[in-house]
Amino acid sequence: MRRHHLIAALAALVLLLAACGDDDDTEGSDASATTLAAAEGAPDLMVAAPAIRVPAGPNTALYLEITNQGTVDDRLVAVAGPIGEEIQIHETTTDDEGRMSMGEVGGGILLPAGETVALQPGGLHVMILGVGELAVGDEIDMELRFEVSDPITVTAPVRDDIGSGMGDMDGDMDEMDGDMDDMDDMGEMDDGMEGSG
Amino acid sequence: MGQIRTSRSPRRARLAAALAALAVLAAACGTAAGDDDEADAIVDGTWGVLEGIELAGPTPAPEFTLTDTEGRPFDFAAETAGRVTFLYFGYTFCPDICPVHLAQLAEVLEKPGTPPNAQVVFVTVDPARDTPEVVRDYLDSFDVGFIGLVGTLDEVEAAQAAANVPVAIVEGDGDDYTVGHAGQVLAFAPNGFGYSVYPFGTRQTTFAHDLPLLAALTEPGAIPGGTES
Repeated sequence: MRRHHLIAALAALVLLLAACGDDDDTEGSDASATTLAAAEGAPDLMVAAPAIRVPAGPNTALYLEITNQGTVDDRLVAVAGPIGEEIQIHETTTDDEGRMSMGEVGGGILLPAGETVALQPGGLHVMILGVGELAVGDEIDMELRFEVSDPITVTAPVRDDIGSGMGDMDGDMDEMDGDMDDMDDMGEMDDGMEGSG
Repeated sequence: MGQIRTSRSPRRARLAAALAALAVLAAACGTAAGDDDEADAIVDGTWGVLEGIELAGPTPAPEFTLTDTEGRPFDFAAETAGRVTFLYFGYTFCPDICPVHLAQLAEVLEKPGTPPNAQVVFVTVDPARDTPEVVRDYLDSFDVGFIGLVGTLDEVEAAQAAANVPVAIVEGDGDDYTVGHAGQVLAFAPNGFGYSVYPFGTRQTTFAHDLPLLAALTEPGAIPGGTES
């Protein structure tokens, strides 16, 4: 009896939480998710929802989510691709006065074992400098390079609706000041922000 | 029978607990979820009507004059009277947050039923790189109707100060510098007063919700959702 109730309540909660992140839903792009074979005592990375914003200015950004299903931490250390003069790993942070700025993340992005790290607007992102012309619907192969794991190539569609619905950024923006704890928090945020989680 | 009765009560208690949990969660995922996280200087819930962050009181539109992308002077307070104006300070090298705001606003303004007198004004905080042509080209990617303003560094800094946002600062040097700038969109009603701001992370539905409420504020002293104060 009690178990049934608990299960029902939990199911309701799960449904609600799922619905919670869903209202900006657009097309997902999980099709390009890639999994490396799991190995004992190794990171096991899965990349989901890669997307590049159609450039308006000289630069643009690549977003995606990386889940480390393994038992060992890894690190995203570089990204390479056929577009842009330079590709850097960046983080947008907010200072005490509400000023938002971005800077290169030295040493790359920690991918803790058992966690998902989301690169999403207003936080971590891959900045593509001098990107040139891209059109919505283009698909770009981007190679992600890691400290431990072998490189993973993902196909990122060019989109004009990344973050345009926004939402689920309901954490205190002031806390997003760029230390590792906050990066962990970012990774745990509801992935419904772009509706493509 | 007795056994059934005794089990009902805890069952109800559990149901009640589950419902309470659901209610809390439902509240947490509401569209105004960001409201209580906001900046210290702002007292939210002044009118309890707008989904953006409500200011402590109506705030006059800032007085500054810059130059639009066609080279004409643009007196902000004068040119925005009679319209809902969303004001944003950004720069075209910005790949992460500026496009989110501008894409959101473009989509909101394109929606059927949107008040026709709404406009977006983008002020560059990076006049060294953002020439009028560069700004025009950038804004056209979102909406050809967006107004772009440029000026000297002193002028755009004065504009930010007038709008009461943190003045942008250049970070790094050489050609690869970035600019830290205010993350929020400011909104002004047709009566020339601001009632709310929209921090980065605002939902598009929040802008869509507030736009008609702001558009209705045409008279001096009007308050959101109400009559003259």
